[in-house]
Amino acid sequence: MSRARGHKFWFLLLGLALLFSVYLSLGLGSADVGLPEATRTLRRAAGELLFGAPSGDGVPSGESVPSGDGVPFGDSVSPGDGPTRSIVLDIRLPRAILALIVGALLALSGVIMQAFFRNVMAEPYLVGVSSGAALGAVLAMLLGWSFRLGWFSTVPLSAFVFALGVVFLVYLINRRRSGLHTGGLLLSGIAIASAISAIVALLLITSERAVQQVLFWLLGSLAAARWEHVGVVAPYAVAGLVITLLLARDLDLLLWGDVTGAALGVSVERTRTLLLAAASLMTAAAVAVAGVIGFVGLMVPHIARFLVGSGHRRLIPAAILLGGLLLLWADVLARTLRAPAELPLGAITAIVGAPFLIYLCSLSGRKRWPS
Amino acid sequence: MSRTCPLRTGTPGRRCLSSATVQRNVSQVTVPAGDSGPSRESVLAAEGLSAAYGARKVFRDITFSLSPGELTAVIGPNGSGKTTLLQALCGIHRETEGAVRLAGRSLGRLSRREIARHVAFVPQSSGLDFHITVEDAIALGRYPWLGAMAPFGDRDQDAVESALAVMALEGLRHRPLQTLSGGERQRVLLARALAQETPILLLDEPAASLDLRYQQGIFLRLKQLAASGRVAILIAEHQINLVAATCDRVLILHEGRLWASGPPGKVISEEMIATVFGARMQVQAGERGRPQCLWRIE
Repeated sequence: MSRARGHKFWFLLLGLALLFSVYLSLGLGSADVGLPEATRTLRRAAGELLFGAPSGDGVPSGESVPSGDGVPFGDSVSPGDGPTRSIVLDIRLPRAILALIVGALLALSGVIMQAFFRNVMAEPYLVGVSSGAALGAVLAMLLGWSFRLGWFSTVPLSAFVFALGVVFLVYLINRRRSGLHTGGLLLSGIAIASAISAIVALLLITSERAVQQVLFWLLGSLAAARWEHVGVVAPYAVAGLVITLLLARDLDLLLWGDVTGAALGVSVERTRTLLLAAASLMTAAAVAVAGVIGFVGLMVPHIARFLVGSGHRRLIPAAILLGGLLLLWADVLARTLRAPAELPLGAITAIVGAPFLIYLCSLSGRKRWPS
Repeated sequence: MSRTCPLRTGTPGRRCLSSATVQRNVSQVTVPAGDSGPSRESVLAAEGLSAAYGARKVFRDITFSLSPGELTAVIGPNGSGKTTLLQALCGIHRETEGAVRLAGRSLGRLSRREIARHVAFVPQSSGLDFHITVEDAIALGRYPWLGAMAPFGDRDQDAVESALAVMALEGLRHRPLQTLSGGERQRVLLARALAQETPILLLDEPAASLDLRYQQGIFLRLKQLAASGRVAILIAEHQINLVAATCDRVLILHEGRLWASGPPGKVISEEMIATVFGARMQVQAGERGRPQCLWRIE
């Protein structure tokens, strides 16, 4: 079947592009560490990981590594390559991985939301996740809260909790005996989001503290990315992926509405609740570590649909790969365009994304473009 | 145990109502007195079925059964509960009392997916904002058989091909659904129900908003399908002449109950139309006991 082969081609291409992009991104940044140094560091770290102790494999003999505490990542420093190693392994690599995960989470939530609402305009922040997270983060920053839970530090934890709190509120408002009231979810989500945005704006105006920091957070950034953040979001990414793949066929059917879905075997209420919970958790986790990055969740599902069609068993992996790829490069731009300063990531995704989506819309009604 | 489904005999492995199950279970079903259906075993039986939306009762105490090979129509005025009845029969409308039995098993004890393997329900045309091809749309009919992870196999592709052929859609298989006419789209929805390979088809106004040719085409196909003897079909329909010309039996919903049921020649009359619909039509006796209704507008 030529269609199946066509899809395999896209998956292969996206997968390779993703790997290559991660590699390239390690050699790009404000510090003067290029691809050759990054490659050398990577090879050495890989050697240490594989053989347990630092080995001289592939390393120029002058830079012998003292076999100190033997910790494979970050801690064992040798004179000369310490900063390089730290920049590559502790800053750029986790940042690249985090970009992939956050991009994938947002894209996946977008896919779910568009099927959930049967609406091409739906996106992950529709039911109040972003506004809740913003409120949580702003309160934490302005009031100087300080607490942590495992790898979760104050601002992400507060953002996460508030995001889920708002979604749960919206959910409670619209829970009916017959199931979730979709139109109400949309409306009350928007209403609560605008109310909270107003509160956030008022908080910012009446406070003199940290306004720049808050604004930067609101526009999204991976500048603070560390391995801990990867640890915080990775479980949500894995769980979200598993749940969505298991529900892929249900998502196909829900596109046709609840009655058709039920007629073709979907337990509509249960599936809807599960989908809403999965999308909210994934979005909240992404927002908690990276701020409110717009456009990825709206745009990536459409591009993915353009490439592989609207069957979710293909759409989900395609959206994950594309979301990761897009956010990785957006982040590279964010940290290199005005280096050493950082640009807000959300601004980059919107500036790059909007024209592309408009271009796709201009194809509307032609060969393969939906709606 | 081999699987016997409409349109084809299948391979073992996946669960479907086998004819043996049907026969075994149907003997337990008490087909109530007054049911005017044929004497063949029923695959679906409603027993004292009532439905409501909150405090508003839609209909009450409806009893009838459907048998393979039978094309049945339910008619009645707007709001009489035709759609609700169809949805109650496949467990989508759940504010009900009384019982629905699928091949002897109570509907309430079956999961949604099990129901979807027994009953295909085609709602009135639903819009879709997303791009999907005719073939992919019909393939959705296989999902009740696939579950979450099973691959779409040759057996499923065969079912899709067969449904494409029955509904004469082969030439349109790669076309996006949005580019089809209303009649073509309706045929796709019916093909999706056929690909579901259920012994029962419930169709909500399959000829609504179609031109004469498509109305005729769809009802002709449904008649042929029922005549194959493997499917029981129940249609909610307003076009009384289409019903009179094709259906074996007519159920009339009026004032919240099953007002009458029987072959078209018995139940379609000027009095019935006046009482149930509040309309004036002249009913002429047609060939083979199939009446024809003419408008009387003066």
